[in-house]
Amino acid sequence: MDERALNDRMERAARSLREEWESPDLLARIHASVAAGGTADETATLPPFREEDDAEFRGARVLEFRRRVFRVLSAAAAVAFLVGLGALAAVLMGRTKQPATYDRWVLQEAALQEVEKSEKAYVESIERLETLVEPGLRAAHSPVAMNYREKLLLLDQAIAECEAEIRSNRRNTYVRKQLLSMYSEKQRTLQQLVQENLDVQ
Amino acid sequence: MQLDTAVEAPGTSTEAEGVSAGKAEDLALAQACAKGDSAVFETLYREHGTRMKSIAFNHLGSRADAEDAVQETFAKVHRSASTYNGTSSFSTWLHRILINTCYDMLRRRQVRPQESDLEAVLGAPEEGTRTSDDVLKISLRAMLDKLAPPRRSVFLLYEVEGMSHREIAAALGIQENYSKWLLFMAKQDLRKLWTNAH
Repeated sequence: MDERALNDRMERAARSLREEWESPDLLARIHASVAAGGTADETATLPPFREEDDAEFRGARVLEFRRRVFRVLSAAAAVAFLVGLGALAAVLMGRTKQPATYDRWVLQEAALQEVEKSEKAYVESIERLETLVEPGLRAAHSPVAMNYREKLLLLDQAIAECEAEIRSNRRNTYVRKQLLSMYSEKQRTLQQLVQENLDVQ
Repeated sequence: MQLDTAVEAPGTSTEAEGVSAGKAEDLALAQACAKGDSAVFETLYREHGTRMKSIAFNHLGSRADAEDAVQETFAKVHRSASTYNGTSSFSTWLHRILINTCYDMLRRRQVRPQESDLEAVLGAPEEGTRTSDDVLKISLRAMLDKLAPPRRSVFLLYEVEGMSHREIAAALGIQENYSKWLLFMAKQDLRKLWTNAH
């Protein structure tokens, strides 16, 4: 029989232990006792036993107190452990994120180097064209030549401003795009001048 | 004094009547007991006598002793009523005196009745006609005799008489948690005794 079933049976049996019977002369005996009087018994109303005298109960209370202390300490340790675990997880996640950031940075750097390479190619191409065009253009006095000179001057100023901006922030993609388009425009203008060299003069 | 109201108060007072009203009625009841008012004792006996006899019987193991204990309890109530201060309800106070009286009688007697006496009280059904519940009832009485008195008292008051832990604690002058612990330990002891016997 398991514990619960046994408890149920004992409780049922216990209820049946309640006794009731007729006591026809008991009330008369009570009246007689009351009438007989007597002196008050001070111990009559004292508690029949005290919990202080129960060593087992005292031991159980001490044990229960220790259990409570242990539970509180366990809970505090669990909280501290979870906080530590959270902090560790945050640190580890930060570390795992770092390579991704690094990879992105490397990729950006590679793209930037490609752009710079392209710019350098423009600059070299422009310098070669300028060596071809500049002597003739400087000597020319026609209105068309003056327009070309003015356009190239404006392009040079704009290119200089962009280059200055890029020197302070080489990752400024907007300025880099502007610079590339101006290099392209200057290259195209110089190529036109090479083709139209005679006419300009 | 309005006797009916005063006597009904300990057992039937509702929350609406209020604690102070109940206490005043209990104090009036105690005064009447101190004076030896026979009508008050008769009403108290009609109100609490049956349960008092049952409690005494289960502590002492015989009807004659139980009746003696109830008689002695009322005599003590008469002699000590002037010391009642209303801290606990009058019926609680009455039960404490009864259990004290039972303990006194047990101490005087030193020996608990044997199982055969209890079987005689139970009617001792002939062999073969006992149900398993009868067997358990007899076994339970025998096992209860083996319990420490505080554990036995709390088990009897809670499981047999249907009193709450609050009522038991007040009647025995102990803490409620001690009453719960005693019941827990009593059941544990009884289970062990049952397992050892079967």
